[in-house]
Amino acid sequence: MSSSGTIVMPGERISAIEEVAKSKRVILGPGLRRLDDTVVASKAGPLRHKEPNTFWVDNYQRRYVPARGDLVLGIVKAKAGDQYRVDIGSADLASISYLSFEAATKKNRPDLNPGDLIYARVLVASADVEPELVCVNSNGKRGKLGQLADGFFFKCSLNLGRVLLRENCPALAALTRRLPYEIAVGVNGRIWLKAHSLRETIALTNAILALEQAGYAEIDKVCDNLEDFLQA
Amino acid sequence: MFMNSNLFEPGKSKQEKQFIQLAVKQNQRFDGRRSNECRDVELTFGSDWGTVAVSLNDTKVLAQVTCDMGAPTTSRPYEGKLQLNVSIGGVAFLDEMQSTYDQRFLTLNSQLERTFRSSRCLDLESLCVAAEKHVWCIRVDINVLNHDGNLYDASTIATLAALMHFRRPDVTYANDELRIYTEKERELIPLLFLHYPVSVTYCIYKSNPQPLVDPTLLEENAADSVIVLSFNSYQELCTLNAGGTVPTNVRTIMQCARYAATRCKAIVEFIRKTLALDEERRLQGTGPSQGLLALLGENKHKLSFKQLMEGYQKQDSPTLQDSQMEVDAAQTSEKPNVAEVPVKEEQPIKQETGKLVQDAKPMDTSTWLPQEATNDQELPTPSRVVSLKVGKGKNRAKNKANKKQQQLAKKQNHSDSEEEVTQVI
Amino acid sequence: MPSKVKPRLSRGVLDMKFMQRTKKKVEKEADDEQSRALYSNEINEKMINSSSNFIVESSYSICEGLIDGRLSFRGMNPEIELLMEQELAEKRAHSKPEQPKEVSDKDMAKAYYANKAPTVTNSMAKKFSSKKNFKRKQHGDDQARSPGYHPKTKQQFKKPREDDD
Repeated sequence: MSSSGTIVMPGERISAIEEVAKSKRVILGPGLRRLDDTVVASKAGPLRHKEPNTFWVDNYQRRYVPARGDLVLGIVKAKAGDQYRVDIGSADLASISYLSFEAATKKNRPDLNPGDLIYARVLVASADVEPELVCVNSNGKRGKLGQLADGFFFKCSLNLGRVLLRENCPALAALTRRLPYEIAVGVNGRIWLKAHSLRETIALTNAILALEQAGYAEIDKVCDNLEDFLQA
Repeated sequence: MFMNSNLFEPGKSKQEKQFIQLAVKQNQRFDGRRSNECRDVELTFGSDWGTVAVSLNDTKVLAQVTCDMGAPTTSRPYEGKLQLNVSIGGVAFLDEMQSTYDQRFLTLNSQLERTFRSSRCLDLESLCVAAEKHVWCIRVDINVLNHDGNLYDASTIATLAALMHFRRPDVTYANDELRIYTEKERELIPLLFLHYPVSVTYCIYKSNPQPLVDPTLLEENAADSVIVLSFNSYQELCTLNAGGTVPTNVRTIMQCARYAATRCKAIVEFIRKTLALDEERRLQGTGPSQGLLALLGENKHKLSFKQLMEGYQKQDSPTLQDSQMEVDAAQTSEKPNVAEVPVKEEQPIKQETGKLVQDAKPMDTSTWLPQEATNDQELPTPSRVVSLKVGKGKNRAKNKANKKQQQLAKKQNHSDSEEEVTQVI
Repeated sequence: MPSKVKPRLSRGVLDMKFMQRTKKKVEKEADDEQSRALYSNEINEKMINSSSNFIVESSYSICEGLIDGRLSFRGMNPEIELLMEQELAEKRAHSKPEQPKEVSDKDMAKAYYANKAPTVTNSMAKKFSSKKNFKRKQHGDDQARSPGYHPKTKQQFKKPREDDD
């Protein structure tokens, strides 16, 4: 991925992408819009490009906008009929059916209560309809999704969540050199952590939040210092 | 700077609550503080009189004082008016229920009202220009800019500092004509105080009898009950607000009160020092920060509690004389033209403070250990207090305040100011 | 009186059993026409004819190719770690399409012929070939190459194509 330093502003026309689009298909990610044959930015931030043909704007944001296929952490807010209402940090509460859990039937309902935490995939996301989640994959298996018990849960910016989830991001690996832990990072800027002891969990939380200030280039440097956080 | 990971109301999931309870049980806090340790208080004065930004780490409050001529109320024709305006909207509680927002706003508002208005900290009669006709209306705008717990303390400190910093123009009233002088014509006049109240907030959890002072938002939301105590610099209780679901016992509240009293005194002392420093800077002409951004950003004008008051506790305990001297110096240098009322009080109070510091000295070393041995006789019987303990009611808090005040008054030698305060409350 | 309306099949005809497919087709046409009429003032020529080269994808995780966020390290949660390993293995299999061969294709062929494999195949084939074929084999292949020869293919029933009426 190239992290070219071009900063785009909302409303700015991006002719570089239009050039590319003349010869081949182009994928426009979040923050970019197409108006007929022109491409316009709708968010402010650095323009990113991934080979071969993906473009998006990596803006700083804390409010999550649901998108199909995202893995998110949600807090169960209420039971409503045959659905749970789940807070995933978006403008609307999301809903998840009782039946979209592993081995759930009409009689055998999952045991979730308000305040519980789930790791789920966004199935339906649209501006007009409330988002819908699932906790199973297409085979009906739960895989990595489902309820998260114990541990600690905190929130960060969407960017930090994404940075941690990049392939070959050094941060999580750097942390595990010190401690064993279990983590669930949602694209909606929420992180759930579980370590053996309370002290360790607090240390890991502070270490991860320390990354908030770092750019992607500085991450290595910060990762070296993470161990200080853990020792403190 | 405004990186608040708690932007979206933490403490609402079961995990967080359980975790905090567990952490409290093991005496661990997220920022590594001890349970009786406060965050650093930072003050920045704006270029206008009466503009102060206070930050407790990520909690940021801006207070601004303005004044205006107006007519007094018919019930109190000889008194000026003090109006407190709280605006909490600067913090976007995005996924917060409207009801929680309203509740938070109301509690903060009533807390400030009681701390500053009901306790009569300002000498309102001195703000009267012409009886029944013209009085000064002092208006304090308190803007919450960022919320990371403990809004009460941040707001009270900001309000007090802003009021102490504020100067009003001089005014004369003759032949039915009101004349307000500009700064060039006559020197501006600071407000007169009867006493200086500041609050201290505690969180209490079911899992641990030991309360946490100066909670962060996460701790506050996960807490089972929150206690807010306001003391003035003479260590008199002004307000007490205890809500929540934990059965709080007398000992805990007394512990809190004792610590809070010393803490409040230290904070008022700190505000005085900062005011003196600000005065110095203004005289030197190294102008204070201009504009809001300068006020909030990192700058050299920021005055930190930890730095300024570093030696405070240490100075206090070994040689009382020194600290008294310092208090003296600070007060005289800082407000040469403050009216007689506080100055008169100083004589008896200085003795008291000396005594109280002595009382407080062992407390600092063994902060939360039971200290009842000496004070038990003064405590009301537990059953009586227990009946009073939980409840947000103004009356109850006031009752309690009265009782406490009487105790304190008993403990200390009576002084004019104390009597005045107790009467009012 | 020549009507401008396109000739249509009557409902009675369309309701007949063998006309079911035609009925569907006609209905679809009518629907399309209706919707075209509805949006005709909003859709212009350009929109109908232009083929866009843009695909809009609103998810960061797909654009950036983010990994699944549920991770476990050093035995915290064996279940998750097992899944992680499986995924890693799958990914490796994808990224390395061909494993290095121990025996090259050439060597393989050489060895095959060196072992006189063709003779074996012949003898085995004989065993399975039918009598008719056997006869033809004996005559030799020359007949097959002559222009007049049509190998008799076995007649098979062919299903009618779906879209045939």
